[in-house]
Amino acid sequence: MDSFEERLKRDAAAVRADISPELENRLRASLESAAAVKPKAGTRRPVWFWLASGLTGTAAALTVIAVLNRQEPAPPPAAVAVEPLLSMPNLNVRPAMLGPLEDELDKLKSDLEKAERVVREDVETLLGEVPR
Amino acid sequence: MLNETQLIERARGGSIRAFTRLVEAYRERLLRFLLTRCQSHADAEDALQETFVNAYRYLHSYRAEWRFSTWIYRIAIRNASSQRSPVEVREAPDLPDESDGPLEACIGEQSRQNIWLAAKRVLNEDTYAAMWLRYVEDMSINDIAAALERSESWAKVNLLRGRKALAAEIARLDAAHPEDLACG
Repeated sequence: MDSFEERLKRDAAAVRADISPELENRLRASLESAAAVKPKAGTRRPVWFWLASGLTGTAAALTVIAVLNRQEPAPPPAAVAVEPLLSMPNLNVRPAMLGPLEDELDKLKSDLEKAERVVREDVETLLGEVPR
Repeated sequence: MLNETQLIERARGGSIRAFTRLVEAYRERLLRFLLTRCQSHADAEDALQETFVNAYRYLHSYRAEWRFSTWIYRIAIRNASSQRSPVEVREAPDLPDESDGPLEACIGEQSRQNIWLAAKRVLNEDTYAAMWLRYVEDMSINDIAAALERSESWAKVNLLRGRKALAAEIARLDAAHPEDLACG
């Protein structure tokens, strides 16, 4: 310990910290009042307490098991008609996207037949009847 | 004659007499420290009382791997801080009106060169406390860090800085008042 440390220690000891009788009484009184309200942390309970507690718990568990086993088995649930629930969707519905295309295809076929008929009539007019 | 560990064990079991023995062992040391932290002698006494009451109340949370002194100093530091109003905390760095503080009153006229008065002027509160715990209470760096709720690095650095600042202040005072050297 160097002289600086010695001086720190010596000067600290020079600070008077006398405990007056009033302060001593205050400390004692406050500790006694704290002791009066302090919960007994970690208090050991007697063996019979744990024995009785264990027996009570075991008895309660056995009672619950017995009561559950004595109950009538629950009736099977009533049959539920599943047919309405399983009705199949109508798969013949035309898809929304294909409808206009099919209409267009029908018109083209119609135009083609019409054109074919006109050509056939013109050829028959010029050359006589054409075999089909 | 019971040692400290045995007294703690008995106090934990509810023995108020055992705890009173611990109080008797620590009350002067703690009061001396609290006088340096609080704004008045009355505040220091209140903080001391609260420290012992809280220590007794929460003794079940004390763990044997800690030093009891570290644990109780930690409670004391917290209580000392809670004694101050917000205004006083803000004004703490400007403290040094030597004639007003409890520390000055307790040192007495014959020891005005007390190094702890200089320490109170030049060190901040926690560095001051670290210096006190190290050089008065002989606590380890680890214990100081635990008591002040700081890291070990903080404790090391601030002890070094505190020591340098205090040595510089003492040198300045000695140069300014060479007639007082005999007192120091």
